Amino acid sequence: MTQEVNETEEDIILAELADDELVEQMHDDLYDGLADEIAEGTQILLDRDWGPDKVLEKALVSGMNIVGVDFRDGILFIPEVLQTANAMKAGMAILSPLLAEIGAEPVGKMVIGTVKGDIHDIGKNLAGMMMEGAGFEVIDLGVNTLVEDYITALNEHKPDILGMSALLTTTMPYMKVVIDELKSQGMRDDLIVMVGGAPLNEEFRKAIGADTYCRDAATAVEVAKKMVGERRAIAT
Amino acid sequence: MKDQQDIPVASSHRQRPSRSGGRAGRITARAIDRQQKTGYAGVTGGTYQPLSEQDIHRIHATALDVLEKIGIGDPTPEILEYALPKGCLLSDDGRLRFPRALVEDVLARVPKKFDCYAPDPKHDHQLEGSRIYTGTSGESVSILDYETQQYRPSTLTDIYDAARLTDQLEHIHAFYQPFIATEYSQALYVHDINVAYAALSGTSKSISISTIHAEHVDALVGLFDLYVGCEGGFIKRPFCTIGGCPIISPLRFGKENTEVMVRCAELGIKYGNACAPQSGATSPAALAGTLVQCFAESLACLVVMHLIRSDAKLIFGMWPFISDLRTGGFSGGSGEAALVAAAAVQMGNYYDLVQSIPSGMTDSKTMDAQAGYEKALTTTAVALAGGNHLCAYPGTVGSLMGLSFEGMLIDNDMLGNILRLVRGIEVNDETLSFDVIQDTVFGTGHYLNHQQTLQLMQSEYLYPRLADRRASGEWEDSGSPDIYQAAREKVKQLLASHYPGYIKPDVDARIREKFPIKLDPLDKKPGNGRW
Amino acid sequence: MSESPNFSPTAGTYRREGGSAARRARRKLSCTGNAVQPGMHSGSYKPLSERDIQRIHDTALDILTKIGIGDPLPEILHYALPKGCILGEDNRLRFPRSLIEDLIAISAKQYMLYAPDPRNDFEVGGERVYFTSAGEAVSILDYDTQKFRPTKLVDLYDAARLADQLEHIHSFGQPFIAADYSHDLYIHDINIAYAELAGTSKSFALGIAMVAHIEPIIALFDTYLGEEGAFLKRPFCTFGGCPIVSPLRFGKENAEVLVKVAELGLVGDIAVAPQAGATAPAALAGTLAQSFAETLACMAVVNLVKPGSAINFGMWPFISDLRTGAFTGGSGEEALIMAAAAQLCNHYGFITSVASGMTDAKTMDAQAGYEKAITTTAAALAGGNLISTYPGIVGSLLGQSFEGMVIDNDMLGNIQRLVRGIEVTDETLSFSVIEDTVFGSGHYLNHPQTLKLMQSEYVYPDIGDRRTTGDWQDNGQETIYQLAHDKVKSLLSGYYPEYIKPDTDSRIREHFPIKLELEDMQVGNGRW
Ligand code: B12
Repeated sequence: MTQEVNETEEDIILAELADDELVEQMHDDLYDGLADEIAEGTQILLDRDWGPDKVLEKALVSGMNIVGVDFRDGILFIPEVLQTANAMKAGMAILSPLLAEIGAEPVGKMVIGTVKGDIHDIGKNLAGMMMEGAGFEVIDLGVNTLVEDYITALNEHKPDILGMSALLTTTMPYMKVVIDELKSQGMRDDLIVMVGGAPLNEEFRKAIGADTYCRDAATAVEVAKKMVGERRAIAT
Repeated sequence: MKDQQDIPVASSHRQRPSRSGGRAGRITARAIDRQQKTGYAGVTGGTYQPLSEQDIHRIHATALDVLEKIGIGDPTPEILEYALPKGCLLSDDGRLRFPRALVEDVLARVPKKFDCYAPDPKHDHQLEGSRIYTGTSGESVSILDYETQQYRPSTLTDIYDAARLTDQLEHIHAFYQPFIATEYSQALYVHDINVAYAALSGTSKSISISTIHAEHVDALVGLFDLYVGCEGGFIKRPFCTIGGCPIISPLRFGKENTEVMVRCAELGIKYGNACAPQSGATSPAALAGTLVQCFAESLACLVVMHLIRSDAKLIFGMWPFISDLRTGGFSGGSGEAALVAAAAVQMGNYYDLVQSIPSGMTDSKTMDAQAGYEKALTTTAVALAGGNHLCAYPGTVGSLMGLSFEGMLIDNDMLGNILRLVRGIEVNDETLSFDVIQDTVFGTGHYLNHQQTLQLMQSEYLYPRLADRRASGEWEDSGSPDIYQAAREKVKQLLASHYPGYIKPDVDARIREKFPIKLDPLDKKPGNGRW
Repeated sequence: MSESPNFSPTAGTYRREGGSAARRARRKLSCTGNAVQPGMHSGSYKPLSERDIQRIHDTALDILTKIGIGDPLPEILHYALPKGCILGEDNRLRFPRSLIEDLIAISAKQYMLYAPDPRNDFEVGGERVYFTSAGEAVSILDYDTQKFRPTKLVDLYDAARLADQLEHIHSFGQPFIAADYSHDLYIHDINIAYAELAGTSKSFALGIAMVAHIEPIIALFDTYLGEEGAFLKRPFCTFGGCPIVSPLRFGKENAEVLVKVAELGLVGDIAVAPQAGATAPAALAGTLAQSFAETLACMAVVNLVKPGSAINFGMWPFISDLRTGAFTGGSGEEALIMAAAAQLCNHYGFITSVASGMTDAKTMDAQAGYEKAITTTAAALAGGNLISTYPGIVGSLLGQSFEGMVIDNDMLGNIQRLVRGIEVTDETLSFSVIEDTVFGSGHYLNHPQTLKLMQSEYVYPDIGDRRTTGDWQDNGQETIYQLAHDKVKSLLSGYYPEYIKPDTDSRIREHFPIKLELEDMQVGNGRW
């Protein structure tokens, strides 16, 4: 598949494309997970005096929308989605410092980890990578994460979202331990707490006082975008 | 039919001198025949060999490369204590590397067969070669509630009921904790003790418990000693296996589970490791690569157990799992799952290891046709390949998330069919039947009333409990039930009546004195309102 | 892909191939990727030992020499007696050992099964496995009422259209009869031929019991091809039946068909189905010996007619449920004996035709699922070349369910994957991939190998449910049957292939009593 794409690769010189064509090409390149091309395209647009926020919005974020749709429809498989996430990351690597400079709001930031006592990380990794694909900055704390580790990371990175994963009925309740600690440290309201993992459900989310439970990583991306947007709207 | 003379005949109205037999005699004979079906425990597989010799050698060689050059990360202090003096190397990156020669040596020396005891010795069996025994397996978190037919969290009484059901199902030979008692998820000591207690209350077949706390192993031994009635009694006939996942793929030890494994080795208790890397996620997408990694991971467990104690008993558990790469989700019922598990069995058999293998992990959420075919094709493949302890997940649905009692019954029939298949065809002068054919062709023209047919009708053929073989018309007249409905009725019947007193009252009292037993005695009797 | 360059909708400039549109197109072309193909090599399951095979073989030859086959027809005697077969006073035809061994040696070991569309042609031989539907049921689980009713001609056309779209059914054997025309067998046979031709471009088979109907059907096919004699050059249809009435007798009509087919140089398609305990010994080994002898006799007949003839070696030992004497197609014994038959026949290089999937369940429930899977897995792993997997057939071969065909298609895909096995090479052993990952990201989800293999190493079911429990619960808790029910509608309501061109069609209708209405062969017929 990638081979076919590569065959014609020489034919296109990104720098020669008009803005709208380039953006469209970047949408396709994102879709096809071509990280180098995305980095190149991002740079070209910046060189053409596009602001980093505009590049992010027009070339990258809107290009990723179709990825979500096609994943849901079973057109894109997970390894492909992760390729697109990788391409997105390549663009973000260039844009992030610039966005910070102009004080533009980044898409969002998430700290994620599998809770204490639990080593299941496939789902957590997927959720993290998909979030990166949507332009979020993701700090992954790995597995077996203690409440102290969560708190330290939250203080250090000041994320919009705390994501917790658990696959065991025995470890799920630890999420409540973390949330309670957030409350007692007065940090709870600064965060969107998002939880996931196969044995969880909505009822459990309510019981532990998390903000949202997401059944899968694709939903998580949608919900995260929405909730971060809402919070910002309220804040301003 | 001759040797029925000494069988006590069901009481007839009138005592008269008579030939043994008649209707009463026949009824007794049928009942005994039904029990003889348990004769299918221990049939020998191995007729299906997905890998060539050369494939096996290459997988072996690469796995040894992996152990030598990549090693296993996060070894616990206990492991280092045993492994370093024997020549394993701890490198700067904190990974434990296993020299080739050591692994080969261990492979050659580990016990190639061992007894699998049961609380009731009639269920004892020997694990060896490519003989097959089936069992339930775990650990789901929900049950398809019998009354509401909706999923709900599984509880302790569900475990007890599942044990009672297993006790009555002839093609499920062992009871491995099928789910979690979710109400005690936060009190793991209470949890583990009670799972064991519930299992022993419900079945006299061999059991298995999963725990992630090494101290609980000792506590369980204490409980079992009380059950047996003397200190040290359990270890003489250990009827319980401990199981878990000591490896976190790719190629790392998981602390708690590893501690449990080490403790079992020290105590001489059978331990079942389930090394379950998931292809494309925690092991390579290439199935051969998944086998390599999974083999290496299981070998690491084998070596560790053996270094601790040379007669340590590990049920070698290569459990290669499959991802659905559309979503990254776990898929237990796929053709790939069947294939890679059968290949794993062949690897284990090649080295003559006692092994466990999973099957039946359907992705369907309910006992429908998909559940049926996924369970059947995965189980058929691994059974034909000859995996010793077949964790067939009877009744488990939803990619290991839930269990259905109806499903356990349906799967019991399925397992019967598969064991029959595995048993194979006996070819000898008598069975080749030349004379029988000749008789028939020049005689009646059909075999229905031939002496041979009469003689073989029960030994050559297996009869399912539930599977519908009626004529369509008869089936329609009875309301066109599917097997699920038939299973529902049967579940009720089996669970409403079978309350075995495996734990004697005085023993029970002693156990309850020492351990926080939560299973209500009333729930262990008829009239508990559950059934 | 490369022939259809992708144009930017806004500007007229070339863009790189790719993006969503291209990917969608590509997924559509190969919805299950290329993980499985028809005709994969098999045979890694061997229920019998070499010695067992030898003993069964010897006993079968003993049977043919000493007991022979009863009721030989004049046509058979005509070919057989000059070659050394002996007709006893008991009117049984006995086959000398050496003759049978010679005929085994010359019988065709590899040949083409053509299809109307050459892309669906395939060559049978070795231990390559193909799945076919087969018949002949008499009732169908009506799509709307979900009750059994007699099958009709139009159902057969629909079944052909369905099979045409199900990728793991490689050829289409007539799954049921057209009960609405069973009073007139000529009309019946002509019409089933027409219905199958109209509905599928896969190789197909007809169960024909009247030798007189073969030539008219060939004439129909020639009309379809537009040239007399064309069919015999690329025969895309086989004619078959059960030429043996067990134990060990010829059945007149079907044996006549067998002889005729051999005379025409067509592939013989037979099913020899003695039922253990009823028409064959209760000992499974004995049933194997008898059914092998019976099938060898058929093989001998076609090769006596024409040396080197092609015959689908249909050794189909059946099982009785001895509680009632009824046929049980879904039992473990059935799986076992059919697999043994496949192994046995493959040993001699025959084109092994066996059956599977003959569940005793009346509906597509868990029992149907497991019985179909056990029997098909066993037959496929044993290397049956042409496996009549009975997709969608329930009730011990009596009823057809369209939903079942769709469910079984997924099952067959899974079994094919199992058959394909594991390729062990430097690359697939993945040492460096493992090394990369352990010392790198720690997981394989986005490793290039995963991306590369995700479609070639894995098969994805069409309707098989792999959602999470929660997803399933929130979406109506459908069983696979309900999913299949919807799928059948979507497959059958829009797909009316025009395999028979209108002018050809009128020519056919001019010459033959075609009963399938044209209105029933297009959208809006009220059926779907
Ligand atoms: C693979 C697996 C393992 C692997 C884990 C490998 C790894 N590196 O993760 C291994 C073999 C090591 C393993 C070990 C164990 N396992 Co385990 N395991 C599984 C299995 C089969 C699949 C899990 C999986 O990865 N699925 C694929 C991913 C993609 O799905 P997912 O995790 O659900 O994630 C998706 C969503 O939930 C969501 N999501 C997940 N996290 C998050 C987080 C956020 C923030 C968001 C928004 C979304 C989100 O997005 C993901 C993508 O869509 C499950 C059964 C199942 N069907 O889930 C059992 C299962 C979870 N395991 C189970 C058990 C019992 C164990 C052990 C305790 C066994 C033992 N006795 O040793 C040990 C655990 C030890 C420990 N301390 O943690 C039980 C749980 C029982 C319980 N008590 O709850 C299960 C249900 C299986 C069973 N029936 O036995 N396991």
